[in-house]
Amino acid sequence: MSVEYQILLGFAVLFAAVYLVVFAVLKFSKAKKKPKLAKSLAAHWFFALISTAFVAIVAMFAYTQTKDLFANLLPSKQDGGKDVVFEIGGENVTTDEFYTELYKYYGDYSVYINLKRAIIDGSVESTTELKDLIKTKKTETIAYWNQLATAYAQYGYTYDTIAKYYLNQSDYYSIDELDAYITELVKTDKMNFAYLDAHMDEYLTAFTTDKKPRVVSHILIAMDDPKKPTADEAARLQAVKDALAGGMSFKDAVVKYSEDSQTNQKEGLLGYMDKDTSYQADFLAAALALNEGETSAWITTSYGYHLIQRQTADLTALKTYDEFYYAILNANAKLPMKILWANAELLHVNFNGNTELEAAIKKYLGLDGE
Amino acid sequence: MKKLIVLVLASFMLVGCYDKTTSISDKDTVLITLDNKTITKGDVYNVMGKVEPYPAVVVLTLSKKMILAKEVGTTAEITAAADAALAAWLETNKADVQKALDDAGYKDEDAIYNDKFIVEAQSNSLVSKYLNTTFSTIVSTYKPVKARVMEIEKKADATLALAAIKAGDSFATVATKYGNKQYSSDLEIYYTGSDLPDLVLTFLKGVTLPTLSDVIEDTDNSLYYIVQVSVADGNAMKEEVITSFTKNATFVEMALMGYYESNGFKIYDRTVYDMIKTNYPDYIVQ
Repeated sequence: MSVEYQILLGFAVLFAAVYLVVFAVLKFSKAKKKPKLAKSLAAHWFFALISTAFVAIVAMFAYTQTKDLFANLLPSKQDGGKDVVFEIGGENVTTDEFYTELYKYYGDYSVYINLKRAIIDGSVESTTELKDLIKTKKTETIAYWNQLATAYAQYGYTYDTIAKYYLNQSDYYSIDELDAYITELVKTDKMNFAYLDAHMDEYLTAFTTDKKPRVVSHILIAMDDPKKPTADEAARLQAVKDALAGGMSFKDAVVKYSEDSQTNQKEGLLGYMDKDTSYQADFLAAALALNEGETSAWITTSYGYHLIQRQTADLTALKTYDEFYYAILNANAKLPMKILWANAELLHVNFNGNTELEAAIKKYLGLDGE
Repeated sequence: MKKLIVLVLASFMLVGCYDKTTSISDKDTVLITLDNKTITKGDVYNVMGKVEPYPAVVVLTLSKKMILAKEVGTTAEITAAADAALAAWLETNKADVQKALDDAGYKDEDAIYNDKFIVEAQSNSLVSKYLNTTFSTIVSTYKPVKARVMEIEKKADATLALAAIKAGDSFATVATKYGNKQYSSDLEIYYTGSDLPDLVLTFLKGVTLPTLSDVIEDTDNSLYYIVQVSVADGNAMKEEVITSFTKNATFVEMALMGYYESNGFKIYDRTVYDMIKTNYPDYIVQ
């Protein structure tokens, strides 16, 4: 029998029981004056019937509307005053037992995540400038994720799936944590960049020798197939060659001839690059071969013909590019953890005598030998 | 008005008893201190509890161990199987045991013995117990038979192969000559879910006595099959069926699910429940 019918039957039984009592009282009571309530109920039996039916219908309706809600609710359970996570075979597993088991596998990782967040947050002051940076970064991030969602919609990606992917990369698991995620990204950069500024001497020479950091600009003459330029493409290429041969500056040639819409409004500036930048091989080789101020010969990529110019950029100029800092961090695998620990020490990290935890976390950070 | 307030508060209390994300009893215990911050056990639990699917994996691992302990325990037979498995593993990895342990995610030999080899031996025993208990249902549902199957690519070869078997040549010899080795010519236990062509499965489902098929022709793929059934009644080869099915993932899963259900697996934490429902929905039996 469905619950709806049980409700209806329940009210019917209740009604019948009440009126049995009422009529029994009226019939068998020896009192001179019969109870007022019984008399009143007997007199208004029809109204009572209609009212009971009405209440029963309301109860059935309320049940129908809310049954799914309640069906999806999980009951809770306690054992000895402790929350139970699950039970099986009549045995309870409390949250404390679950914590111990979970910790065996993921404890060091979870402590690390908490510690990392506390260090990053404590190391970078929340100034107005930083808040503005966070606001800008959030706007850019949302725009970028929306752009990705549009581009990959055909593969079933949405803003939410893309956001979740990026959030998960930084150990955030809900879109509600977007602000915390953005704040952590911005503060991490601030913390890392500040450390590098203070310790640049330790890393710059080796990095420069190995990675050849530089700033480059280019002119692009776009072609469908650079190996077989059409007459029009060849003419456009010749025009810029003639202009340069005639004495036109690189910058002016960019403005007049370059067909790269991303850079032709900023003097052809591609910005920071180094040996690891993901440019096409011929472009990369040509750009890395240039000394400051030099311009390459024309080279081809799948985009068309390029003329590359290396800009003069000292350390101060390189530091204006976040990519420069990221490249140093990427080139030194242990550096991010080293920076984190250096900041932890500045914040007087204290494991409260738990040397086992301290050793585990240092091992996790890859600093156990230091 | 007072009654109304009491009613509302009572409703809140009632709702508070449902849909909880559980918390540990000593959540305020401080693990690490920084200048103006502390990291507590509660903070650590909150992170561990959110990283999908860690909590789900741990709950399922733990609950499986509890089922194994209750249903099969650790018998001498199980210990012997685990000892043998550990010895074989140590032999394979003798060049650098610690590295192999690290790679496999185990702290030491005790850990891999208890968490892998004992569990595996117990799991086999559990599946075997389940199959023994439900054997008549398994036989009527999955119709296990013992048979040989030969796949042949030319119709003329199939006709010759069938004639040769009928003339007394062994199935294996004929399969070597005419078959394409897609299927073993050895006797195997097959059932309704075996990885065989539909036409062959249909033939096997209809078999009630040991028999040799005619040439079964798959016109869609231009392939031909000959099947020789040596045992058509699963009940007549119980031990062999159980041994075969114990290694079959379908029956391993079925057995485990059966015991989760019969042992009343109930989850009381909303986050864990949702993670298991998303990642391992078959385990939700409440």
